[in-house]
Amino acid sequence: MGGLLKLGLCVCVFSMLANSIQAQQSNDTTKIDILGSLKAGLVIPKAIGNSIVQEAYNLKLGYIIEGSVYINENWHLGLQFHQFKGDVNNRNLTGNFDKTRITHWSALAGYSLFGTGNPLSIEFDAGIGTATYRNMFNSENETFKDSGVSFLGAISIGHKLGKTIGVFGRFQYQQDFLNIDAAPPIQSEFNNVAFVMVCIGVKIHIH
Amino acid sequence: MKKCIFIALCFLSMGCTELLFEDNQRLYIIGRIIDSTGKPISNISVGAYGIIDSSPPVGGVRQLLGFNCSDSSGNFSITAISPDNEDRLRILINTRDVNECRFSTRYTAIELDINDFRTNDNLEYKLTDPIILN
Repeated sequence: MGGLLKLGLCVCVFSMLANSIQAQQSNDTTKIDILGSLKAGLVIPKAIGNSIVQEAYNLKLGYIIEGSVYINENWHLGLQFHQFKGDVNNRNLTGNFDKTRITHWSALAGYSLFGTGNPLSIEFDAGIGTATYRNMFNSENETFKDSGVSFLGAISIGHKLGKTIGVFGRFQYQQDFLNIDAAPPIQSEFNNVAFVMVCIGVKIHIH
Repeated sequence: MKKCIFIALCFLSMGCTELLFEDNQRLYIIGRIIDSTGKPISNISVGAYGIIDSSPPVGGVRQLLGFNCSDSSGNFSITAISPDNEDRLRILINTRDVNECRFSTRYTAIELDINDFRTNDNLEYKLTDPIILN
């Protein structure tokens, strides 16, 4: 429910930004063909490196939603939300719980190689945000969470299928620094978690 | 009659407690298991539980926080989630709750209650004396 509220707020903020740029653009000599974009798709996550998630989780398919506003022909700012679940397959390492829902919220800045006018797009993004790991027992009633800061770097390839719709594929690296307090022998496995993700989905261009 | 039922329900709900957990925290418990001759015992189940005491008729709460098996030297380490409102931490050696390693009928089960694990700042609790199973 909280996630939906945040998502609603993001859409509102995104719409206001888009409207603001549109108003500015009408008085501007520089033409921006596309004001922004909304992306939605699936995420295939894989944990890498020496972390608790890599050693003790079986990660599931997740989803991603992202909104971006172009500030000029090549540069954009955005907000990304993605979420996936993992089943714990080695509770000796994690403690006694069964599932974790991993959520990332990130603010993005990106560069589009060919600009907004080209049907093919290659975009590079960097971002910073929050990571929340909601840990659950089987009943999903009793929960607790781990949280921290998250950084990402991504490269996306997109193609316009029409004026407003397109498809995209993305390779993303995500590094989480979690604020978990643990004993020295296990601390590092809990604090640094890295993922690589492949995302595919649709991209709606807002003119 | 309705008043009596209402009072009884209130009384029961006051007694119902559940174990809560600390966010962003894990416990780490280490120890060693030996037999009466001093020989290490391997593959014995060890569980750490959060305990909330309560008066009858409601009964207390006991929840498994983490578990592991002893290795060939008899050593064990448990990574456990951290309880927030427990009365004590209990270590059960040779418990039936852990399926990953054997419950041995050769040895008796042992319960150790730890009341002072919160005093350790680094969240690591060492059971300094070996645990002897008979």
